Amino acid sequence: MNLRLDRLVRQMARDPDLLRRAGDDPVAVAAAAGVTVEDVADVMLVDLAALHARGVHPLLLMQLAGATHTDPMEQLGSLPTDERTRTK
Amino acid sequence: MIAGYGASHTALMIRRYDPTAADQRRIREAFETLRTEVDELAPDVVVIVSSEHLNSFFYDNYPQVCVGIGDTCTGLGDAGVPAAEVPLATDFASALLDAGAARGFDLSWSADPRLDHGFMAPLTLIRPELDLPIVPIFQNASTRPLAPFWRSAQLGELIASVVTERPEGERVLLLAAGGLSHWVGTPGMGRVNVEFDEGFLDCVRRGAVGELLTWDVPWVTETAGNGAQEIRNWVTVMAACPSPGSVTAYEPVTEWATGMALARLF
Repeated sequence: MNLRLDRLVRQMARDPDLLRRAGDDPVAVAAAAGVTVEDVADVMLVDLAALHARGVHPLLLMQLAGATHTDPMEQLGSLPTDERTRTK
Repeated sequence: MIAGYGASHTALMIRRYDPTAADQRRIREAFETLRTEVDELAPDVVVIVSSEHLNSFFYDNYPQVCVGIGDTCTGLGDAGVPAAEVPLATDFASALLDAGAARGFDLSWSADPRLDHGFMAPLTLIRPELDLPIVPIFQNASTRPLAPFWRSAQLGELIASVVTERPEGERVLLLAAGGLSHWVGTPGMGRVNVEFDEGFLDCVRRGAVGELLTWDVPWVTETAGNGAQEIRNWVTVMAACPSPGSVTAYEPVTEWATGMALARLF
């Protein structure tokens, strides 16, 4: 859990205008949200692995992926399909 | 209480349904079976114990267990599920809240709550008419702190006591939604732990809810993924009427990133 970044990710997943503003002025959006410009950059890139490493809630990563038409399994799935059911 | 069921839900099972995939088709057929059984059982009230996905609630006020009240609730429209309206069994929900408060289980409540795919995906498949009054119970399965499984069992016992004591004598059907193993929004997404799922379903078949209460919460996440915490919804329904269950279907559907199961729990 990363309270400030979680809030921003949830907002950006719901507000296309905020997503656009973050692209235009990431410094202002980062300042308003109380996060770093690097945080905003990772959100804009939909870098799910980086955001996970920063502690963003997994369900919010799913919301961001949905809003940006990103396949989360492509980024986060670490195993070939035929090996997935054999893992313990 | 006329019956209890468990059914996995996933955001992908409607949006990414591929009828040419045998495993997915078997799950859909199992939902059809459940639909027929529910129709024949003709419940007056359906209590759905599920988990939302930070859609209905957020950090300003995040409940561990929340009961939906009001006349109707509306689906969120996520995961390819229509944003349809569903009637609420608000009398039953109010009785549950009162009984909980009186017996030390102080439940949260939410008026006219929005329901995401955690409720709407299975409900749409089981009762597409969406005409049965429901009691949505949101049980936290995603966000720390997570309660131990015995707390979920106590919730089931509370529900059972309310059903028994209601003078209205409604025909109440319980539905647990969620699980089994899956990693959601975390590295390794797409994995399914068949061994874990089979162990869980073995407990379902034996009605061994007491055994499930010994399962350690962090161990479940580590072994079967963060999404596997939704098995607590099954624990709630099993504890309402502990008895041997029957598994209608189980498939590790990797395209949906979830160990999918449907079962009659009592």
